[in-house]
Parts: sequence; C-alpha cells; structure tokens
Amino acid sequence: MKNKYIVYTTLLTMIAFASCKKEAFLNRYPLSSISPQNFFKNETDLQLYCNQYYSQLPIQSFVNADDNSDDKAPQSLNSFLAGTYTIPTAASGTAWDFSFIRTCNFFLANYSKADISDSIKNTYVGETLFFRAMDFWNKVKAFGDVPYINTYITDTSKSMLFGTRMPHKQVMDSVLKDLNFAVAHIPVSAPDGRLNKYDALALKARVCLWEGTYRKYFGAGDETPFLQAASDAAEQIMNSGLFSIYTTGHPQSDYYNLFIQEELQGNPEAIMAMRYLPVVLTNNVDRQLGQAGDGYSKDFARSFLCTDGLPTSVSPLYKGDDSLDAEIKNRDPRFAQQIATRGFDFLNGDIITLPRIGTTVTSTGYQPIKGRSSSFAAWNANQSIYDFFIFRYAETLLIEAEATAELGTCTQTTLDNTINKLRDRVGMPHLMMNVAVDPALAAKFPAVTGSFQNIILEIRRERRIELGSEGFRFDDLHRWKAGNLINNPETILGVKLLPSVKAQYPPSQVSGIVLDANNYIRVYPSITARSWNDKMYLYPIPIQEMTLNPNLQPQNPGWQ
Amino acid sequence: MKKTAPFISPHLRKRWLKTLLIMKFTALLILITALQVSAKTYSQERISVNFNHTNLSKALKTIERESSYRFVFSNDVLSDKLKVTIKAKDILVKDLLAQMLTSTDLVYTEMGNNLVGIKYSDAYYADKIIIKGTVTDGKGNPLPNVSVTAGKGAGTTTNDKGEYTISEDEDGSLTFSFVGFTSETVKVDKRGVINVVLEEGNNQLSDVVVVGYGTQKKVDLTGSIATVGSEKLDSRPLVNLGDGLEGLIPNLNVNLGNGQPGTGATYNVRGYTTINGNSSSAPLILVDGVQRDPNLIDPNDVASVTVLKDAASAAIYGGRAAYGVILITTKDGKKGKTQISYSGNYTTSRPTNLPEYVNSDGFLKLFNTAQRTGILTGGYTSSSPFTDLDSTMAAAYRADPAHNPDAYPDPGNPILYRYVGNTDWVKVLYPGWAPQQEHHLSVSGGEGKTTYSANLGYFTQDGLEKISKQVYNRITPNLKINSDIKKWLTVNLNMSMTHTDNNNSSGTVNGPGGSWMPGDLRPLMPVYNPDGHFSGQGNYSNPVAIMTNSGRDIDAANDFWTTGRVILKPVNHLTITSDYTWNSYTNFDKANLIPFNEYGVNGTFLDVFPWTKTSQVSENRQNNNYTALNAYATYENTFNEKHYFKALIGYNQEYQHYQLSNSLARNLIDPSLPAIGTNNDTKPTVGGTETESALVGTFFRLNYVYNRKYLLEINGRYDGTSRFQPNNRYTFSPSVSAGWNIVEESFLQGLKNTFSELKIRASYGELPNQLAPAGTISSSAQYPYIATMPTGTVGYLFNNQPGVTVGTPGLISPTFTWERVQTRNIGLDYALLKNRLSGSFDYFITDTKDMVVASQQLPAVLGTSAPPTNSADLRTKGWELSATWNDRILNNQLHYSVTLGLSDNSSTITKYSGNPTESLSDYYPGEKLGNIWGFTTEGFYQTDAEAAAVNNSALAGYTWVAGDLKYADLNKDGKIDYGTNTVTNPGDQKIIGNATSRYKFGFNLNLEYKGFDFSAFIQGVLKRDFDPNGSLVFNSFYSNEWNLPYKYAMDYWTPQNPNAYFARPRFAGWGNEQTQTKYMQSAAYGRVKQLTLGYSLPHQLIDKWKIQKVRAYITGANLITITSLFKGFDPELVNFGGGYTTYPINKSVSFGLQVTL
Repeated sequence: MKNKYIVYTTLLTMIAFASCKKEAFLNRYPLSSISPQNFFKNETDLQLYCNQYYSQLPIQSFVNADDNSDDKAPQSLNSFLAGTYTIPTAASGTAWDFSFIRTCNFFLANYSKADISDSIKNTYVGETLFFRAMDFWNKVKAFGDVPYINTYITDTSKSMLFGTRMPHKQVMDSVLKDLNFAVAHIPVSAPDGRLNKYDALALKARVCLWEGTYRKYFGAGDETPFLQAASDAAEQIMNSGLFSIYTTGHPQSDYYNLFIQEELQGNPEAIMAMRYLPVVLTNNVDRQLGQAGDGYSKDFARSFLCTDGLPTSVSPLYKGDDSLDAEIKNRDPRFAQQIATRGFDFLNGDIITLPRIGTTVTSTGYQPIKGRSSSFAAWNANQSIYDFFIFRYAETLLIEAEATAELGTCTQTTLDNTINKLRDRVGMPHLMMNVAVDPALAAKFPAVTGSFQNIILEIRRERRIELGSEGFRFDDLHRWKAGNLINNPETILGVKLLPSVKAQYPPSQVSGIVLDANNYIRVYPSITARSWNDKMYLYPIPIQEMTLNPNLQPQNPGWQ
Repeated sequence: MKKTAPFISPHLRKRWLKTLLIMKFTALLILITALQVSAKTYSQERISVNFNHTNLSKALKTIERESSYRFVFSNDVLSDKLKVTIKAKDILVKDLLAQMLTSTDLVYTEMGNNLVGIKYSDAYYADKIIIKGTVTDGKGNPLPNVSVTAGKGAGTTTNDKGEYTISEDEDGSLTFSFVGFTSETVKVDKRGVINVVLEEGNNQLSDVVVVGYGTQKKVDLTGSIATVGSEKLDSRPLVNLGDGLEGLIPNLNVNLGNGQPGTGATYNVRGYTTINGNSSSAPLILVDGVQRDPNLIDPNDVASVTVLKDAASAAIYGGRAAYGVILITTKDGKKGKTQISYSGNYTTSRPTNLPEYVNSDGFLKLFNTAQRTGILTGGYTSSSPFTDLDSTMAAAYRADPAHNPDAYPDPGNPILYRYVGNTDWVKVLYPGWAPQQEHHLSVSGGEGKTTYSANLGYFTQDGLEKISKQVYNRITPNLKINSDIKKWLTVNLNMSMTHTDNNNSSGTVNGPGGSWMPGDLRPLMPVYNPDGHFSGQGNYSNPVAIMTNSGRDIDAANDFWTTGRVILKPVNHLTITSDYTWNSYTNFDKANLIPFNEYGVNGTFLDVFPWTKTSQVSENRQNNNYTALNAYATYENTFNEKHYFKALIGYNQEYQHYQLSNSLARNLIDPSLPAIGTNNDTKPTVGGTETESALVGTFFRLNYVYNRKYLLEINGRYDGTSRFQPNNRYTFSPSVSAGWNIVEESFLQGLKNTFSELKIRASYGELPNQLAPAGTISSSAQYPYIATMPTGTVGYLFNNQPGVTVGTPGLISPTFTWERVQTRNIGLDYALLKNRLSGSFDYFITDTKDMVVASQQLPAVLGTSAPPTNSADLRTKGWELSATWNDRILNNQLHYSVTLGLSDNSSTITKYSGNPTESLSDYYPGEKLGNIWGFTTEGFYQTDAEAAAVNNSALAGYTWVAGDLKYADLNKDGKIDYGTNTVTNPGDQKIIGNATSRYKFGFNLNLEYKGFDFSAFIQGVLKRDFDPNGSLVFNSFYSNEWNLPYKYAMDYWTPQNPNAYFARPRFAGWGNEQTQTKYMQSAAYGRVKQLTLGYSLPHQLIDKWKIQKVRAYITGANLITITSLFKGFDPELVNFGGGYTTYPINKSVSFGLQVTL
C-alpha cells in the first residue's frame, strides 16, 4: 500500500504545481513577428520601413499606357472614355484607397523614437513626404477635392474620419510643402537605389507643372508660384550638370535604343530608373508589348512633323499616307522609332513588311514599339531585364520649356537648352521662337492664346511626340482642360488601307477589317467618334464612402 | 468431480485442448531456452519463503528470484484469484511447488534445464461439459445468428434453426445476445441442454455513452448528445471519418471538401453560429480525450463517435467547445482470446460530375457573338479576336481531322501557331476511373490484467487526373495497452501515429487549392503541335505538358500521439484519472519545378515555359508540438437506492508550440535533381513562423438522479487563455440541465409495456469562445491582441537586391475578450413498442453574444480596417429529430432497421453596430444569414428600342440591346440600380433566396437475412437556394474573353431563339451577370451516398476453421443523385461555385473483405 501513497502524493504535487504557474503559463508573446514597440530604433529600421514605399514609384513601362487618351486606339475600347465606367461601391481598388497615406503617417508618428541624428531622420522623413505628396497628387488628379489626412489616425479620430474634403488648391499647396521638405532633406547622393535630391526635384517639377497649368486653364488662379516652382526645380536638375540627353550620334536609332537598355544605371538621361537584373528581378513587358493588340491613333501619327520642322498640313515634304511606307517619308525620325514600319524586326529576324493588322499584334496598324525589341531573350516570358525610366531627363527639359513658356519667360536660349536638345538627338531642325502657329494645333487648343501661343503649341506637340506611350497624355489633357480632343474622330482611326495595299495581305486576314470613307481603319466599327463629357476630368467617389460620410457631399460633377 | 459429457467424448475434447496448450508451451520453451542456454542444474535447491495471501504469479516470481528455477505458463493459467499462504524455511523448491499448487487445478512438470511448466491438470478439463440447445423468440420462432458466449470469451452463434453447441464449465454461465433482443445470461448448472427464449427489446437502458471526462448511462443523460457506434462505420469503405459520419447524426454537418486525394472533411454542429472572421463554427474534436485532426484517423479504428450538441453537455470543455464537441473513441482490446481481424477493400472512382465544355464550333460561335456584341454596344471587346481564317480552318479540322491541320502559322507572328483544333480536354485529362485501396489489420486481446489492441491501417488513393500520377497514402499504426496493475491502479498507454504522403505533380495548374483545370484551356488548342512538340507556346498553360515535364510536389506528414493515463481508485466510489498527452506533428513538403522548352512553328525554339521557370526547389517544414494534461476525480455513489450522486472535478492544461520554416532555392545546378542544396541561387529565400498558445481550465460537474426519475446536472468551468491580454483572459462558463424520466412514474406504469423510454430534457448553458479555431498558427491568430508589423520584400532593387521591408501594423482593440455562446435546449428521448421505435427530438436556441467583429464601418480615409471588438450578436434556432424503427420478420430471419434523421437551423443577426448605414455588402441587424439579394428578371429585351428605354447604366455602362436581360424596376424610379446598396435603399434588389441548407436529412436502411446484409444511406438537403452568379459554369465569358464556356451556354438568345435560357453572350457582361430570379437555383438534393451488399459465411462453416467472421461486400458510393440543380454543378460542391476550379466529388464502386480470426 505504500506505493499507493507515493503515487497520490506525486500526482497531487503535479496538479498543484500545474495550477500555480498559470499566469506564467498563459503569458505568450510573438516569437516571429516584429512589434512596433521594438521598432524604429535606428537608421536601419527607418530604412527598412521606408523601403516599402518604393513599390509605389511611377514606372514608365509602356504597356497599355495612354490607352485612355487621343494617342491610342487599343483593340478594346477604353471603358472610361466610352462612358461605360460605373460608380464603384467600395474604395478598395480605386484611388480613394488611403492605406498608403496611413503607411506614411504611421512613419511620421513613430520615426522620432530612433536614436540617430536629425539629419538622418530627415532623410527618411523626406522620403516619406516625397511618396505621400505623390499619393495626394494622384488623389487630387482623380477626385479634385479630397480629405487631407496628414497625421496618423485611428478609429477614434472621428473629426478626421468624418471630415470634409479639402479644396484641390489647398491640398496641392500642402503637397508642394511636402515636396519642398523632401528636396531640402533628401541628400544629393544617396545609397544605391534610394531617392536622391534630383529625384525629389523631378517629382516636384512634374507635380508643379501639372498644378500650375491646371490652375491656369481651369481658371483656379494662383498658378504662377507652381509654374515658377516647376521651372526652378527643372533648372536645378539641368544646372547640376549630371544629366544629359542620351545620344551616340545615330539620330535614326538612338531614341529607339534608349528604351531597350538592359542597364539604365549610369545612363545620363536617367534621373531615376527602375532596374531589373537576371533572376533577381525581371519583367514581362517586352513580350506583353508584342501581344498587346495596341495601336497609335491616326491623330497621333499625323502630329509628327516633317524633317523640315513643318507640320504635315503645310510641309512640301509630306508624301501622304496612302501607305505606311509613304507616310514615314521625310518625317521626324521618332515616327519610325516608336511605330513599327517596314523593316522592323518583330522578333529574331521576323521582319515586318506590312502593318500586322488583322492579327493580335496591332489594332490600328501603327504598332507601338517603344520598349519593344526583337531580342529573343527579352521576349521570353517574365525574363526581360530592360530597365524603365521613373524620371527621364527629357521630361525635365519639356517641363522647363512649358513652364517658362506659360510664365512668359521662355527665350530662344531656353528652347535651345530644352526642346532643341531633344530635336538634336533625332536630327530635327530647331524650334525657333518665331515659329508659325500651326492652325491645326491652334484649333485643338483654343485656350492657348497670347504672345507665346506658337511656342506653347509646339512644346505641347514636342511633349506628345517625345513622351509617347509613357503614360502622361491623359494627365496633360486634364491640366490643359483639353478633354474635347477625345471627340476627334481621327483618334480612333488607324492606318489607311487602300485596296491596293489590302490586296497584299492574305484575304482572310483582312476580311474582317472595317474602313471609313477615306479607307482609314475604323477600330471600333460601332462608333465614328468618342464623346467627351467634362465629368470625366474627375472620377466619382465610391458610393459607400459617400454614404458613410455625408460630409463628402457633393459627389463630383456629372456623377450624381 | 468427473462428469460425463453426453454428446462428444470428453476425452476427444480434452486431447484437443491439450494439444493446443502444448503448442503454446513449446513456443515459450523455445523462447526461454534460447535466452537461458547457459543455465546450470541445481535440482536440489532449497529456499526460504514467506507468502501471505500472495498472488501465485508473484510467488512464482519470488521463487525465480531466489532460485535458478524458471517457470513457463500461459497467463490464463494464473488468474488473480489464486493466492498462496506458505511459510517455510530451506524447503526444496519441488516440495514448495507441490504445496503451493495443492488446492488448485494446476500441476507442474519439470522440463529439464531448471525449467518448470505449470498447467491445468487433466482433471480440470474434465469439468467442462458440452452444452447444446435452441434459442427462440417469444412466439417460439427459432432465432438464427444469436451469439452465444461462454465465460472465458469463447463463443459461437446459432444456426438457421436456432441451434447451438458450446463447451463450458458445468457451473459456468452462457450469455445469449442478439440485436433487437434483450441479452440473457444463463447459469449452466450442470445441464447439457439449455433452451432459451429471448425477449424483444434492446438493452438501451444499460447503454453507456461517452461524455466529457467520463461516461454516463444513456438513460441518465440530460444534455443533447448523439452517438454512433462502429457498426455504422465498419461495414463500408471510407476515405476518411467524415465520409462515414455525413448524414448519420442530425445537425452534425460534415463538409467533405472535394474529391481530391488527401482532402479532409470539416465539421460543424448546429449551423454557423458565429460571423467572426477570425473564428469558426468548428466544433472541438477530441480523439480519446485529446484534440486531434479527425482526418488523420483511420475510420476502422473508431469505436464510437459522440456529439455533444448543447452547451450543457459541452460546458465541461469550456473555451474551445462553444460550437459543440465531437468525441471520438478508438477501439480497446478486450479480455479474452487474441482476436485477429483483417478488412480490406478495393475501390474505383470517377467524378460525379464532369464538366462538358463547348467544342471548337461552339467556342468560336460564342466568342465571335460576344465580340460582335462588344463592338456593337461599346462593351468589352477581345484584345485578340479570331479571324475568319481561324473559323474556316477550325471548321475544316472539325469536319475532317485526318486531312486538315489543327494549327497554322500566325500571320502576325509567323513563328507561332494559331490553334484551330478541337480537343476535349476533359477526356484528355480525366480518361477513366481511379483506384483506391484500403487495408486494416487488427490484433487485440488480453489475458490476466492486461489488454491490448494493435492496429495497422493502410490507405492509398490515386488522383483522377491521370497525367499527374498523383498518389495519396495514409498509414496508421497504433497501439493501446491497458493494465490493471493493482485493484486500485490502472495504467494505460495509447500510442498512435499517422503517416500521410501525397505525391503530386507540381506546377501552377493543379495547385494545392484543388484547381484542376486551367481556366483558359480552349478546345482550339491541340495537345501537341503539328510537329509533335507540346502545344502552348508560352501563351497557354498546357496541363499535359506541365504535368509531364515539370517536377513533383511531395507532401509528407507524421502525426505522432502518445497518451499515458493513470487511473486510481483509492477508496470505493472514487476514481482519480490523470493523463498526459504529447503530440508531435511534422510536415515536410518539397516541390520542385523543372523548366521545359516550348516550341513554335516547325519546332522553332520559343521559350522556356515561363511558369515553371526558373528551376527551383521549395521546402516547407512544419513542426507542431502539443501537450495536454488532464487530471480529474470522480465520485459516484447511490444512497438509499434512490439517490444517485456523481461529482467530477478536474483540471486541464494545454500548450501548443508551432514552428514553420520554408526555403526556396532557384537556379538548380541540375534541374532534374530536386535537391535544395545544389543551387546556383545568389539569394535563396528563407522564411519562418513560430507561435505558441496555452490554455488552462478548471472544471466540475455534479449529477444527481432521484429514483431514476428526476435528473439534474450542473457544470462549470473556469478558463484562461493566452490569446487575450491578461486583464481579459479568464472566464467562467456555467450550465445546468435537467431531465424527467416520465416512464418511471407510477402513474405511467400501465404504459410500461408500450414505452420503454420517455424522457424530457431541458438545458441552459453559456460557453466562452476563445477565437482562433484549432490549427491556426499565424501570429495574428495566436496573439490577436498584439499588433505586429509584417515583413516582406519589395519589387525594387537596392544594391542589386529586392529591398527587405517592414510593413505597417493593423489596428487592434485593446479590450476584446471571449465571445459567449448561450444555448437553450429542450429535448425528448423515446423508445416504444418494445424498442421497435426509438429516437429523440431537440429544439434549441443559441445566442452568440459579443462576437469579435469590426466594431464599426469607417471611411476609407482611415487607411485600414476598423479594429475588431466584441460587438455583434447572432441567434440561431433549430431542431433535430431522429427516429429508428427496427424489427424482424419472416420467422426472425430478416432483421431490418430504418433510421431517419432530420434537422434544421437558421441564424439571424441580432446586433451589429459596425454597419450603421445597413449596407448590403456587410452584415446588418435583423439579417438572416444566407440571404441572397438580387434583381427580379422579367425576361429578355426583345428589341433594341425596348432596351434603350431603360436606364441600366448603374449595372453596366455598355449599351443595352435586345437579348440582354430585363429587370423589374421595383422602386419605380425609372432606372435599374442598386440604390445606395443598403437595406433602406436597395434600389431594385430584393431578397430572392437564402443559401442556408435547410432541412437536412439522412436516411438509413439496414437489412440482414441469412448471412446477407444490405444497407442504403441517402442524405440530402430539402431546401437551399444557390446563386450561380459568378460561376464560370453559368456564364460563358464571366469576367473576360479568356473564360471557357460550358456546353450549356449554347442556349443563348438570338433573334431566332428569343426564348433561350441565357442572354446574348458578352465578354464580362456584368449587366446580364447580376444575381437575379431567373437563374436562382434550388440546390436541394437527395443523394444515395452508399449502397452496400454484404455476405457473411455461415458459422457452421467457418467455425470448423476457427474463424469468427468472414464477410465480403460490394459498395457503391454517390451513385445516384436527385436534384433539380443546373447540370454543371454538384450540389455538394456549390459552395465552391462549381466549375473546373474545384476538384470533383467521386462516385465509386468498391469490393471489400473482412475476416476475423
């Protein structure tokens, strides 16, 4: 029986022991996750946190870029421009998503805990404000007036959560403040890949040009400080001497080659580049571009100057557009460097003779080839390592030209340092201050008047040509208040397909193609023109947000 | 002492028994001599002993210790009853033995080498006599197949005439038992002929049911408890336990997942009683008292399954039992002779429902029509439409495949083919039936103090997708040993292991999600290019190419469980049990991708197939350690014969430690060698998760029964969890239940012949729920009150490597704690007409209070979701009914039983503060769960003008034309829209159905006739609505041009076919894809889950071979389904939306054999 008591005693002790240590037994803390209390301690922490912002960088990757503009007529009609966009229910997936703003504000609420010098801290505050400014600018472009949330808020911050929308101009004034901070505190030379001062200046120039011209053409007032800021920022970049227009002295190929570079780091035109390396980080853009079914519009093709610097409507060099072969004769070399023409190597020796209409390659016949190479290696799915621009020096030059022209301070020197540098690369004649007003452009932009009308119009043309497929066009139409350009029937036409040209194709390939009275390809046979509505300058606010917070009323014009 | 056996010569029998005994001796002898070859001879050894009422076996051990003698005996020889009392000094061992054995039936024999054998004397066997007799029912009809057992466990059964023959001690006893009759035990009393009349009726009153931390007589139960025995599971092949339980217990809802090998079932008791996204309505599932995954148990090992449905019966388990408890008990060894049984089956299966896609003609017609509509109306148009040439070529190939190509060079890109074939991919991928095998071997028995049960199960199943060569294996060895060491001490050990491995092809096509066909696999694509290479060209995933060329995904898991248990009985009526369980679950998943080339026209090398490039190996290791300690004491006594009293008090503590590490290396040096170490990857990926959780609980239960009439039970449990912060960590959950055995009342004595059981039960209980269902291991699930910052990488290069980043934490409420589930239950148990009819009825109301959900809906400017708090209530009401009728007819030759189970439940949100605007995209107060909001269809617009007259722009911005669907303008505002998508302003939507499964039924039929048995099981749902909106089966091009239409889609609107079922085809035709009355489906169904026909060889035949049972059977599963559901769906898979994204459920035919020695 002795055993019995030994067993009982042991058991009771075990139970007693087990029940005593409950609190210690129940206290369990994360073993593999980082808690905010233990973070933001040093520079590495700040850096690691800020790294997440970089996925938000605007990359000029060409795929389906400018499909929402007069530049292109993709295979599928752009739904927003077609007026078929329906008001979304929830904010997620729209520009009304504030999660990135929260990410930035969380940093601003916590970074000061780090035990490092203020100048290092300010570098990362600068990065944060750079990205927050960009996100708010995007929100303003999409919605006009938006709630300006510039502090870290929680579910109890009712006044912020249910606040009103801040007027467009006021938001943009704050955006400019943030950008100025970024410019002031982000170092001139930053560690590999991180933002530097010139990246901040490039964004500032881009945002300020947009806002300055928006204010001017929408009659909002106070445009000068922004135009001036755009010009100042652009000039700082230009005066740094670090950047120049990429050229190897081959006007017929330099422009095209610039966009199929495997390494843009060190390229004089790259203020900031999105880089790719084999295996580590690759993209699929080259292949996508080859199969996009995309196409520039007739209107875009028409806007290229002839080699004499004159528009097609007046230049004696213009050979008409009865065939694509004729159309490229004596034109700005950038035509053949962004549109596939006879002799373009589609892929590894597959030479294009006729535009590949009636196939999945192009909708209009003006097949975009910016960023598109004939290299087999780049065509391999998800294996391309072609780098993309985030900020390209050419854009900075265009900003400087436009901002000074709008300010009325543009001189021939300005033009020579900006537009004419771009023209030099492709061997086009210089733009002169006394250039004649192109009546076609003047008709397109009736709001452009005054003594700089001719220059502004030509700068706008130059911008369209130089930045084709880089995703700027809709923003440009917006800030110029030029949405009406969408109505132009030529923006949804393709190449001319005369019966003689058509006969060169296998009949079954082109049998489904619909032509208009002048034998231009009608990409969308059901319509002869798109119809612009001014409501399309802004997106509607998601229904649920309007319901949750009545202070957001009214809905954007035209979407009620 | 000698008796004459009347029928068989006792000498003959004796000799036979002796032979057996000698065989045993010989075996032992060989063993022991082998161990003791060097033993010397000391035949005249003397020792001193002092045995006082010592067990004989212990005495012999003492002698062994003191001398060089060794004893050989079989355990049944030395029972505990034999005690010796001898005090002697320097006695010859031989003499000592003689003295010890004098008053027993035992004798000893010296076998040389100091070995002494101990066995029964010849006279012992002479005490057994042969008994013969007939068993009949009350009407004098003979009862066949009655089991007759003698005291030692030996047994036989009666033949067709009700006759039996058995040998037993002349003063022993025989037990007669038969399903549907009251068992009878009869003293032999030296009689040679014993005829028995059995009374009808089950011995249900003495049935014992497993409950929390113990067992209880069924008649004394006051909670809502249902139980199923192994007989319902043993007789047919089961992929997993869920397969066997589906439909057996009303309101135990089993979701079988899908038919992919290795897919487990999920369980639910009484409906979905929480809307907490971080929780689940999963019940607590305990196997032999510890929480385990029932999918890893071999159904053959299961002895019984008990479901504790109401709070009163589950309360003892506290914080994890809020949604019911399922107690699975595995089979124990039984005392008696060793029993060896084998069961095995071979099954071949095929999907219940294979999709039927359009052929190339249908595809092109639908596609081109959709394209024309898109162009015409400003809707979605294809970015890569088909040309006239495609149509011509496809038509030619279809008409004459022998003389026409199924691919031709693309004029836009001449190195690529355009495909114009006509492939039936379903036939290519699912060509036939898939085999599956199951074997189970069991050895059990026990002699003396120890019983054991050792089992080995093996299950193997091949995937249906032939080319993937998927094989799933499960091996389940286990061992249970129980030893009554002392009268007051019992020890048992339970060890069990499950090994599973699943070997499947890797690649993106048939990933672990069970997606089983690429969504864009058009019939136009042939399997091979004209030049013999696999088709695909990097644009399409050719599943045949991927599964043939890419690597394997091998997932292996080991689940090892050990439970040690000590049961003490220090004084009468008191039992103290403590057990400790240790579990280690390890899982290792290794997948590799092998790149392969793709070729274009005439074998031009195009590309390495992009989705399996780069070559890589990934390894995923999980290690989950779990320990549980239970200690509880039970006091049970009856005072004055009228007051039955039972009290339980106990302690429970559990701890779980989970580790996961994963690694991925790319750029293998030899891609065909899937080794993670042999890579050329500059930066292999590693990741990991580690979490812990702990739970403690103290509990008690009191049972009181007065005079078998009035029953009372009170439960309480105090729980603490690591999942909440210290201030909100503890909770107490009380419950009370009562019962009234009306049939025991004197005023009902007159009805006693009619009712053998009639009991009314009522219970109320409150259970806490600690969130996070079993198996969740993420940090957010284990530490929900602590905000953490996620880590990851960003697709941007810093110093030539993607940047590592630490993300933003979400919002966490500091206050949330246990949600509470209150259940009220009333029930009735009945058995009448001599137990021919029996069953129960329960009605319950469950209130789930303080569910942890997003406390409020906040504007998106917050930038994240609102933190969850205890802020919503839900009420679930339901009932369940079961009724069994069993009887015998045809002179007792045919035994039949019919069981019907019927259950229902539905839930309503009673409080929800998170949705002040009552948006339909969130829960709202008063919402019945499962409600489907949709439009009311008025048919098709028959003219463009009719369509143009209605403003449908809120639904779809394209121009609406003839052939699009016309919806009723319910709110007469002149346009069709969602309003503000709220309850008060739903636009033109209304509630058009409810997706909750209502009136679930299970119907069982069992027949036994002369060795034949037949069972049928039908299961189904009587009411359920299904909204096919969003399903790819239903919409030809639901979201874009890449979707693949089904054959049914051909019935679409054209001016010539104005009464079609489907609208005019559109790509992403959102307007026509609205949830609406026209396409509302009834997902009610009845499915014959299984039909089994078995035959057992008659005992007269197999007894000769000393075999207890031989049964062969054939089973068909899921062979017949009755449903009005649209053809493309399986009613059991509608949760998944149907279509090729879900692995289909199988129908199968099996052949099985069961043998017990």
